[in-house]
Amino acid sequence: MNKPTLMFVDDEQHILNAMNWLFRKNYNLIFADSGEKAVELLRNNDVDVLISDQKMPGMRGTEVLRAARDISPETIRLLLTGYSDYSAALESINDGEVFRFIQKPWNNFKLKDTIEEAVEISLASHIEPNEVIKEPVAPAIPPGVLIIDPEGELKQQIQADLPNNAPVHMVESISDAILILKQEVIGIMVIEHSSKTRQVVDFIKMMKQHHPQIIAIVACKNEDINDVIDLINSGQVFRFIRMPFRAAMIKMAIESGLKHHLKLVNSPNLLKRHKVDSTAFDEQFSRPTHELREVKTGQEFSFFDLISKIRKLRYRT
Amino acid sequence: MKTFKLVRYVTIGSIAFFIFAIAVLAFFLRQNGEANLLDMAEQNNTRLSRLFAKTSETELEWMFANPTITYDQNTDFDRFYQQVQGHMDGLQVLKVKIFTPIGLTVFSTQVDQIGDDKSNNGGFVSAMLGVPKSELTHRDTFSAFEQEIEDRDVISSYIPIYVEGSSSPAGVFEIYSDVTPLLLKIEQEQMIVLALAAGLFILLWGGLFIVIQRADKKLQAQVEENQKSRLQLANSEKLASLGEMVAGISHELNTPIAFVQSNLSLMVDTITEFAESAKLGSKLTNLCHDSQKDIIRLKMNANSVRNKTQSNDMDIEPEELKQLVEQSLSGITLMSELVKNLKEFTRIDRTKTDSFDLNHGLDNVHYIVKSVIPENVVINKEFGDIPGIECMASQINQVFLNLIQNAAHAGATEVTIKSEEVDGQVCVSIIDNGSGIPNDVLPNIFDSFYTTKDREKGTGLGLYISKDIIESHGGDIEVETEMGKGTTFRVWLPTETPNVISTAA
Repeated sequence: MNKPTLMFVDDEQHILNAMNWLFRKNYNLIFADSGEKAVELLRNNDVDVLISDQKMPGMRGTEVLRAARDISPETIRLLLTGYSDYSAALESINDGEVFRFIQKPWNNFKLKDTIEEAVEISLASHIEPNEVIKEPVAPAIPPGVLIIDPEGELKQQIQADLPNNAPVHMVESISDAILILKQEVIGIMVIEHSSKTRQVVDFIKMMKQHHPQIIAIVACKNEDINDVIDLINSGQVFRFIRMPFRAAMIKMAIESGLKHHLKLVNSPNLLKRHKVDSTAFDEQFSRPTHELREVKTGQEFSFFDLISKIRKLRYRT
Repeated sequence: MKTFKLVRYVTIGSIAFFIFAIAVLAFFLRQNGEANLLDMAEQNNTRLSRLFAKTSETELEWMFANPTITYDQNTDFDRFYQQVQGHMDGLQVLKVKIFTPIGLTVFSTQVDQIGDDKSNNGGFVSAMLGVPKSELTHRDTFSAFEQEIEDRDVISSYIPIYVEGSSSPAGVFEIYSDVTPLLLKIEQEQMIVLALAAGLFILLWGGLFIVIQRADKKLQAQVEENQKSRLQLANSEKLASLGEMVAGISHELNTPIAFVQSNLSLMVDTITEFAESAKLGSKLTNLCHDSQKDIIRLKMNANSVRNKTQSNDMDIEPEELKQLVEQSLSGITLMSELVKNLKEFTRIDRTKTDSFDLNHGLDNVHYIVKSVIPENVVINKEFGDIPGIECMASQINQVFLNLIQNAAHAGATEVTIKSEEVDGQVCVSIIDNGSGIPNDVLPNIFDSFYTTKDREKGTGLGLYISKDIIESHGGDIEVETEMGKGTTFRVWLPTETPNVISTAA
């Protein structure tokens, strides 16, 4: 029987033991008590899902994830940590392209679900050794860049420093963004997020759930760790950029985001890797009184309207 | 902090200066006024003398030729006297005297002075040398031409008289003039000038006072503000280091919580799954015990058992439950160890301990600091045999925690805690391989509010408070550093401490 392989990295033996009891029945397990050992084991083993602790002597979890991204790109990467530090979360997105950010202590059922989901995705998107990976074909119409900028601060910072020939749409509100998404082919969204615009998080979550091929880049001012974790787990945000940033940084992020978008469009298997955690979203969804207030227009509309608008969007390639 | 009493100092200082300046001004004004007056009077008297000498040439010659003739014998004297009086009329001249070159008074409007010898008088000697001499004096009474006058300021001038063809004086005139009204006028002018000056000074001072007072208020407010912000800074440092500790410790605590929780919920699941099987097993066991027979025949309803229980498809084998519990127990041990260490580290009672086992304290600090500093810093312990010391354990713990944290902030990857007994004192060294302390920073490291870290990371109070704590224990703290190689802090502590221990921290 060919069981999927999980690798756990933690400097605390007790944690590895607990994982062993939780997962040994359905999976092959590989344990590493340090990041260095994990990297070595990754080179010699096929690992479907990697779950690493963040705070360890020597290599930190985010460093392990980054190394894993290069050594074994198909491995789905998860960070399991008891220490929610903001920069670690950012690092795990931007460098480790993390799939989920799980906090200690965990809930056994949820953890099992998350890992099961990660394994499914890993297996579904598995690339056979002899399969030739095609370079993504650029479509006739280049996908556009949608910039959602409620406070008008991105406009000043991004300027005309965007990749050529990608059509750029600059909007101030989410409802305007939905209009653009209906009419245009969008490959990437750059969204300004501050504490005042809470609905950005919800918007990204919904967008990713229904249109996972659209890449989301979030530029944020406030340092709310919970927002970041939320955006990783339910938003699959591609890059998280702290404001203020250098123009070159956002340009780079947009360029690699566009490339990534093309890959996703050309390979539906890969798209699964960007599946979002729908449980958190559904919890919110079930709250009927939840309403969104548009920052700029002051126009109020129901959360359900927004969802139906997003669901009606048709992505044209 | 003592405040500088700006208003008081400026007031006292400026009043003293003001009095001094007015005194100096008054003195110079008077000197100058008198000198001018003297000058003027002398010129007048000189002119007057020349007039006499011209108009009464014959009489003078005769007088000089017969110096011994007295007033009674001299019939021309009256005429001369009349002549002099005529000249004096309308002038402020009070008295005229004439001396021969040898100082004999040959004429005086005060006749009883004729015949007096003036050869030793300074004014006369000066006049005989060709230099007129004047002097201002105040007289309570003075015998003038016609009457006795009182309370007068008088200038007397000795003036040489020349006859034609001679280079040395033929005699000396002494003329007394009354300058009382002039002097009064000068004094009045002086008073006006002084009053004006005083007025200006007061005006200036008043303006200055307002400015100073405002400055003083601002200064006072700034001092208060400063003290307040320093206090806030000190507090925020406490909070920051506390926050850092809490974050580190919650992570430390989260790990055992995580696996204990996981193990226990796994146990609950397993036990739930096994409940029916266990019941069945226990029923069977009891049956065996209750029966006296060696072999019992049972008829079981297999379907019912199948329905109530599940086949063993569990994550956990029943015999593994013990391991789960053991692991969970060791997790709880970890947690209670952490709590014990925390309790020991903070020692909220804050009392003085007679014989504190510093090695044990350092173990405690080591345990706590591990969770606060980056994981890649290795801490070595080299504990020697040391006697117990008398100290406030929580304060001493704080010092070593601070020193080790500093080492980690300076980029050290290895920190050694070394304890030893040297000459009856306990010496603890914190040796790191960090970046070292630059020469320009070294003299300031123990100063309050001196820091090279970012504002959010350090308030510059850590080492200042540490030094204070160690010194209040009668100990000493010294530093040795080499750039690029590392720093060693040595803390010396006596086994007995002075009675007074501050509670600065």
